[in-house]
Amino acid sequence: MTETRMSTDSDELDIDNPLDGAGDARLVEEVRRGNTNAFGELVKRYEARVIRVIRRFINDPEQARDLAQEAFMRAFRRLDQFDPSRRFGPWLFRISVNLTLDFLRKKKRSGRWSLFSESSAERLPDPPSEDPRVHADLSQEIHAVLDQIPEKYRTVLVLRDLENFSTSEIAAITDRKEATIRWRLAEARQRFKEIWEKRLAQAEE
Amino acid sequence: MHCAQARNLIALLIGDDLADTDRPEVERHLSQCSSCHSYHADLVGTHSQLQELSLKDSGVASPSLWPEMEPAVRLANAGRGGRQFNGWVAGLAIAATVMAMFAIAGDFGPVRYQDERSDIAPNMISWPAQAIEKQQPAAAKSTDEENTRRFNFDKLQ
Repeated sequence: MTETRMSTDSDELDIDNPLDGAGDARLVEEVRRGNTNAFGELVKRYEARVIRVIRRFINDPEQARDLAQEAFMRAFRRLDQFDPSRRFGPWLFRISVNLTLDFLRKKKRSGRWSLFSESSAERLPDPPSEDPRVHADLSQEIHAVLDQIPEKYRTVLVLRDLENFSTSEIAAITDRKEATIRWRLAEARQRFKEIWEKRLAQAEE
Repeated sequence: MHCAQARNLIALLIGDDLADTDRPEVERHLSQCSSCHSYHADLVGTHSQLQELSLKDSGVASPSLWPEMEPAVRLANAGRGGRQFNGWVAGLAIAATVMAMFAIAGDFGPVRYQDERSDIAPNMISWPAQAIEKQQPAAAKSTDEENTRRFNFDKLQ
């Protein structure tokens, strides 16, 4: 099974920048003592991945950056609630994913937003393209299919197959048992296949 | 193994998410069931689309968030310290109020005899002179009324 490392837990320190090589736990401890530079180090360490994960759900780069910033700020404010015996990475990604899903739910309710991109409101009612396999924008096609999968399956599919988190990491991020994640993953892949093939068949008609 | 059960496990097999204990049974089923064999091939095809996208979008470069965030974080950090300070202030204010209440209660509350009688009756308490003076007319009035009532009652009898 593929395992993806989410954080570096080395405790070796660089002499020039003592926070540079510090492990996440050490940095969290420093932040709790009031060292904001340590939080800066955590931001730099995780920002690319956090933005990328959010962009898997929201295809607007600026909105993704705003949400990532909000996720880090929320993490900073809630750091007192973080259990230091656990890993910082999954906790941060849980905040980021929950924030993103909340944002999407609100936008969906308000009817001013469609999943994955601002332009998808125009795209979704359109008939499927001639052949999704050869579509110029694979990303758009895949997101159009993902959009039709219920949130609880889509989240697992995105985190596993697009972001390569392990099932145990997804369990930690979503606060579910690993067995539940595997079951949802199996269901999500099968649903993705069904919808993808249906779109393909419609395009061929 | 039923095909429905096998297909759930096949969906995990294609992403290397299947438990090692389940793998031999699924592979055996695949070698015997042409329908599931075909299902496996189709799933591998759609899964490869996701993997292609995963590789394609993996390198999103953007400027760091930290320079934009740093002032807000520093402000929040100062606020965190400020809250602690305010907690001390509130604690001190409560303590001061409680002490003031005790001091005021001490002026009007019961006081122990400070003379030699306290040796004879150490638990005996008395009200301060001001309080006794205030209470005396009312007490006297009450005694007069009681005597009048008793007198009238005696006359009736």
